[in-house]
Amino acid sequence: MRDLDRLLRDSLKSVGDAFAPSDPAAARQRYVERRRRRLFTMSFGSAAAAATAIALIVYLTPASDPDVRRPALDVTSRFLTVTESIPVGDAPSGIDIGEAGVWVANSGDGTVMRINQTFNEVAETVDVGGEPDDVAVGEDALWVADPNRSVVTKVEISEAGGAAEQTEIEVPLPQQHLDIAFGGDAVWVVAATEGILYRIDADTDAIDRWDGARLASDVSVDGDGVPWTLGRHQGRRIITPSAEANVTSSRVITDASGDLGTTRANADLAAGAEHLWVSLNTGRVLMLDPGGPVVAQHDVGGSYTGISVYRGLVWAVTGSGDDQGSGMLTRFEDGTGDRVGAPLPLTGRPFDVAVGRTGIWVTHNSSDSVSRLRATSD
Amino acid sequence: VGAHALAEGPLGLMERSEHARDEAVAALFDAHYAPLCRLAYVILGDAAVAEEMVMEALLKTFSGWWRIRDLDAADAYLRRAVINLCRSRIRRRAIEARVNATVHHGEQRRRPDWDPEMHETKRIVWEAVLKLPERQRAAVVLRYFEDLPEAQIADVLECSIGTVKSQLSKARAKLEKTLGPALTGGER
Repeated sequence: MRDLDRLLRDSLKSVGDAFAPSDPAAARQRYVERRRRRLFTMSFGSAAAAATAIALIVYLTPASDPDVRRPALDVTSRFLTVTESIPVGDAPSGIDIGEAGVWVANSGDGTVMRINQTFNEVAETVDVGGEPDDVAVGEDALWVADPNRSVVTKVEISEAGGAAEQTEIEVPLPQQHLDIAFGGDAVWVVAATEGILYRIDADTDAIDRWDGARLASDVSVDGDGVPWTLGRHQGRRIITPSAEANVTSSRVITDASGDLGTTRANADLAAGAEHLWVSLNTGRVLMLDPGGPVVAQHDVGGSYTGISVYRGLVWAVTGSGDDQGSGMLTRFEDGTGDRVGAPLPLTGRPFDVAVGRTGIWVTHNSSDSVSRLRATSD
Repeated sequence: VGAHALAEGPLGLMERSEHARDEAVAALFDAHYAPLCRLAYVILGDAAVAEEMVMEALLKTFSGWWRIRDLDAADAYLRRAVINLCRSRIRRRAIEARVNATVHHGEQRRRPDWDPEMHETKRIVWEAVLKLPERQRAAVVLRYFEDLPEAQIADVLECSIGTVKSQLSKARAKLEKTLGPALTGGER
């Protein structure tokens, strides 16, 4: 290692020190002139921008409707509309957003697809095999969970944002449902039958296990990189944080005192900046203090669900499981626990939701598509 | 404002003030241009683009006169601006390369502008660094060319120290793999 450090230092310094800019005096003159031109343009540009901003504020100031929360983020506008429907692979399930696109796991055909967010079309298909159920985008790699093969596939993302190299990581368990999340320089995987939380180091791919998660069925990582698991203990649902993203130590188990129900399947957990959110297969969405008690709950209907948090808003997609594949997308505020705006009815068996800077994305499991949504005020 | 300035009138004052600003900005240019060009060149491997990136960084950073007041922070501002522009340039180039690869199969990638007199091993090492992903490349150059500690690298790259450590670790692993023969003194 010391040899490499020395070699790098010697080589890079040698390259840099030998380099001299072509004509610094001419560059200096060019710089002074360009700066003057830019300042001149900026002074006129600023005046025009100020006038435009004032006009926009006047135009967009909301009506005095107490039910409508309309802060700066446009996704809070009252109505949600599907703007694009993008055909993807067979039975899309999990979805996550990366820098270069939206990644979707197609459980029916063993592929993962990247959707280009500018052109709203599939830009890349990666064949991972099996039945990929969920995806988590890390810093340099995409992590794909396949519950039937008990395999997590790591797909390295190239610097241009596309897929580069695949590594299969075997989670040492029989067939399990795997929930997967990225955070704190690691990928967190839950194997539901045994309820164990696994940590895969994003750099080394080394796997650690933590048995303290208590029959965990879902995992979500908060903004500090701490994974929270939704599990069960003595017949009750519980939420458990592992300490400082380290599976070898744990903090006190947070018991939600039975408010989370007693069943195990079809629940989802999301860790917001202020609260924890759980959506249950009974059609209820609950907001909890990280300390334990449920502080807000809503009945949204449906029998299965996906939940996501982005910039203080919580997004729950619920499906009824009927023949029409109907469902609903509902928003809540992480700070107050209130509903925001009107829910949006969906079709095609909505399955999972991801929200990011580029919008709201929902997978439709039966219509083999991903819809992109935007919020509008009318 | 002295009596002479008052006698000169407001237009004269503005002109003098403009002139003084230009002089100050030019002095900052003289102080920072060459070192920043070297930094950009080590990251990009392209002399002309490196100079253009530095020019743009200087223009962006010193477009507003008010930003120049904090002269002590000028180094950090400029370094960050150059690194950000270089990283954007690398990303754009990578996308262009992907597009070109689909249009022009088999066309060779442009090689960096290096000195023909450069020692072979150093050239190989630099070439390997230029093949790293943009964030790893920036971290390596800031660590080994600029000699910055991890905390300052994190500040420039606007990420956590942990991320800097992991990026450097990944970069070292890749370089060790690529540079096996050069590290052990073998021929390539």
